[in-house]
Amino acid sequence: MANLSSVIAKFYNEYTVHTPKRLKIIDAYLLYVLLTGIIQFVYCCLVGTFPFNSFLSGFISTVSCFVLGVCLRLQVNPENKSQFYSVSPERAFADFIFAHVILHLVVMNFIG
Amino acid sequence: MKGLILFLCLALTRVSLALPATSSYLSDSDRSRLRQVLDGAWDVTDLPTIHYGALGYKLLGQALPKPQEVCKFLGTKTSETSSEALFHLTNAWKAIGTCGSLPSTVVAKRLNEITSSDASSLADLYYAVLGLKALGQRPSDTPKVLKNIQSALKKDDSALSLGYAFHVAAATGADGRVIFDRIQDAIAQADEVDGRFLQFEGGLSITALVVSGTFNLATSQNKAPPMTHEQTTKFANYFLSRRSVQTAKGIYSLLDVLNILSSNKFILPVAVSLEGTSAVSSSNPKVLLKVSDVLGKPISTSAISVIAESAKGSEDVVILSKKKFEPTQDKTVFALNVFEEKPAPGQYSLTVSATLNQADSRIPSNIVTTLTIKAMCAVTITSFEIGTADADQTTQPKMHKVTYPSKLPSVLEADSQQKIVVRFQLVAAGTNKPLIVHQAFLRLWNEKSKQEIIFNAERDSSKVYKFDMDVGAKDPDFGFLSGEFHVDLIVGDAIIVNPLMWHVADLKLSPPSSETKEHSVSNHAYLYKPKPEIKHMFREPEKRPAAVVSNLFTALVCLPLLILLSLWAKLGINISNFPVSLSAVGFHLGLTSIFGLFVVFWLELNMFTTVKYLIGLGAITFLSGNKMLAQIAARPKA
Repeated sequence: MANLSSVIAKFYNEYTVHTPKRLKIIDAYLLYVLLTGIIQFVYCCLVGTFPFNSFLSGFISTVSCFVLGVCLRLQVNPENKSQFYSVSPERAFADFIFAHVILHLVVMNFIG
Repeated sequence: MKGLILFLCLALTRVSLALPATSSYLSDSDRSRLRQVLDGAWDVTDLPTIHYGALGYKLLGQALPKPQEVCKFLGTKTSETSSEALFHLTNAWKAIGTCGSLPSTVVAKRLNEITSSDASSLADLYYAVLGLKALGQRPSDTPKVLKNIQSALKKDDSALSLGYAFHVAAATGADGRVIFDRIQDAIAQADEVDGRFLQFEGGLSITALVVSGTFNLATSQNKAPPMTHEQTTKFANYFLSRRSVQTAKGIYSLLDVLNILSSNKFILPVAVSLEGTSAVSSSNPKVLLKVSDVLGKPISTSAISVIAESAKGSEDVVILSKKKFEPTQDKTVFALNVFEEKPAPGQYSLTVSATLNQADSRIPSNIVTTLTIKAMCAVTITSFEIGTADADQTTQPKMHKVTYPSKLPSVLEADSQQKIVVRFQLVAAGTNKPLIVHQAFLRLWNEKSKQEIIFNAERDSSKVYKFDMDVGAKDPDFGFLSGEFHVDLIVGDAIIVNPLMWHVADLKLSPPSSETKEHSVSNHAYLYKPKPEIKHMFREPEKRPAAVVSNLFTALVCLPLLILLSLWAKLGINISNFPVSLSAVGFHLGLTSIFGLFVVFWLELNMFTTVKYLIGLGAITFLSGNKMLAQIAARPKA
């Protein structure tokens, strides 16, 4: 047990020290989206899916945001530089914003 | 040899199966009816009617009405020249007999002219020769007449022509034998119907013409006609079936031919019929059998012995065999007490054979025929019980005994929770055998409303009749009436001499509960009313959660946003580093307004207007964003 707590503590330290600030911001965003999705899911389990399209659009929205966020994080991460050589962080951010605009147009259309 | 005997036996059986006797004869009531028809058809100004009517009256043994008028009318017709008119005139004159003397020389001269003319048809020859016969004369040139007939028959040998020819040949006396051979041809043309009738195409008058011509010719030749007794009987059957004929000519034809069939020297059809009713009962135990000729006269002066060979009931029960019928005062009627054999009620087929004690060549030695009789009985009701019981059969029914013909003294009461139970048994009077009848009904009759309902009493395997009526279930039949009903038992059958309707009891039905009544009425009414209109229904929205829950979760969904902001604050976002340039401000404003536009889209806009605005906002945001990010990228890394 102490082993596990020490692993977690070490992991946390590593994270706070070695992760760039930019990624931390993105991680915070991902956490936010994840929590929102979880709450929506809990609501669906507890109360029901009605109105179904609204639930679906909200949930899909969170899942998609999370996916897009992860994509952004992957592209921005300096350790992945070798794989995304041609993609600058600014370009990744622009893609992220564009994808969000399209995504939310669809979500808003679907929300009813 | 054995085979030959067997064949003979079979042949004999075959003969006995053939039609040996007619089952009816021309009775007195038939005669009086025919006379009424003649009275109605009697017309003193129509030559054929006078002719056939006068002959008909004569054959019926009746006086002619208004003979003077008829004679006066006939007197005006003596100058007629057509063969047919002269035929009717001479025959009517002869039949009436009281019109004085006919100017016969003129008439006979004219008729002889017709007979010797080559242009005369068969009908003309028939009219002329029989007209001459009525005057008591024969054609002057008989061989010529017969030659003409033979040549006419070569052209046309229909039944009608042959009938004419037979009559003419018979009137010519012995010379007519050349035509006698044609009788066989004529009989062969007859059509058989149902194996019972023989008739010629064209009906009664032609059939009568041929048959009477045949027998007249046979008489004049003194030779038996080539016909069997069975054929003659079938012809007689046909004639007797036409007793309802309505014309003067038909009546004459019928009476004439029946007269010939009952008085000729060669073949005599025999009628074996039941005299009076075919039903025997304790009050009328005897079967009366009439053996006569077709006019109802005795067939022979010698005694006849009539034997009931057998009487078979349903399921081939034989109740008697070889019983001799007793002669009665009427020479043609024979009686047999069938009832002393104690027949069970029902129908029996009685096989009878009649034998002449002294053989008569005109009649087969043994006449066997089958008749249907029925034995009737009085019905007695034993052990009649009526009562009421609970409809759900929880209690034993309370039964009251009633004996016929009295009535149950107390009034029976029942309500819709109960049922009425009736049990009874029917037996033939004087026996203990249960009887099954065609009709056993219970009738409920309301004296006030005159309403009656008839129920069928069912029979169980032990032949006990029973009847259960669930009052509640039958309420709709009563129209929910309550009140006093008569309960009547109706028993009837063809084999019962005393069909009865017995007022068994009075029944008081208490009114049904209003609830069941309404229910049932509405049920009935529903059947005849238009069905409710089918309206389109949208899907019912599902139940929404309580507002508190929804609001709570709305708050919960917003909660992570706070976490995000706090985390970001903790991480230390340096908003101070915000590049204050047109592009940066434009980008952020553009992005914000895009999301604002989405909210408006969600609330009220449609896709087209949204896309229109989005293009503008998107362009601004894209350009400014592009520029801003280019600046950021150009900035030296922190």
